Amino acid sequence: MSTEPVLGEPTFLWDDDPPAPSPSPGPAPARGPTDEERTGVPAEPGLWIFVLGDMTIFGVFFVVFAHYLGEDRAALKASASALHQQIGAVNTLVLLASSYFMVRALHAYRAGSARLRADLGFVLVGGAVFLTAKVAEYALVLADGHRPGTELFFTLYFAVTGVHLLHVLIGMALVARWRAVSLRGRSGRIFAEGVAVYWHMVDLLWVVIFNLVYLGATT
Amino acid sequence: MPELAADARVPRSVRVLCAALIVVTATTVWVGSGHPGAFGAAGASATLVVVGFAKAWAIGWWFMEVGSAPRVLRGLLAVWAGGFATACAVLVLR
Repeated sequence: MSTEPVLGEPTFLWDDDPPAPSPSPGPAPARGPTDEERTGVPAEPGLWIFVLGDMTIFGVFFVVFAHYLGEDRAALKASASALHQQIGAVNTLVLLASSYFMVRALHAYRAGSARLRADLGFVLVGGAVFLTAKVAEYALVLADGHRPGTELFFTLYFAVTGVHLLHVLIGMALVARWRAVSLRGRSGRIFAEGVAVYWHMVDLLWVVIFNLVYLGATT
Repeated sequence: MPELAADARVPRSVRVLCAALIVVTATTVWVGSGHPGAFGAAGASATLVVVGFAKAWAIGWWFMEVGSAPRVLRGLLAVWAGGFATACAVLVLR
């Protein structure tokens, strides 16, 4: 276990572990259970309210999309054929790889391994590749004359992929923050696990978006 | 290169899951690119949607470590994936 000091983190949702009391003479008091030992929940319960709420909002979108797909399959299929499935497939594999490196990063963090920074770097590279591919895909779709508001499919497509892209950017900012903190010391457990959970949520939502919007509508 | 502590290694279950997700992704891309097979168009769409939610559940269970979390969190993940998968599949199959 690393003895490096715990550095401060943003307090949004996952406030850091409370600081250890200053040493005092006499026998050390018995250590109480940590939050994780008490609840068994990765990061903290409050984060999961946010994560599950976010997932539910996306879930409602998925239901809306499925409703229109069942109602007028021919129209959605005609629009969806203009999508670039290969880019979506590449982005699915890129996010999967980045999730793998995030698992590695969290295990490295818990073991106090210096591999943490490299793993977080790979996660950031994955996010950057996803971002670049998504911007390229938007450019291709717009160049073909498809815009939000002109076709139902592309209104839904730009809405859900746009909001998801915002989640990717937020996730990258959090990963970059974790990596920056790790260069100077050791970040708090709740922050580290919170960033990991958030990044995996980004991956989780994308696999449904890909199967529903890119594949389900074109079959 | 120093040997990694045992805790720093990625569990075998996660590595197996990654490999499985790659295979499933490749298969679904093939089905979704004009090979619905015996499912028919609507059946293939519904199957792809259900497979997508199954992948999402697996990511939650192993990557997000919900599998080792309390029962309530495991249940909420299952309800989210199962509930939305069922709703979407029913709507697609109408």
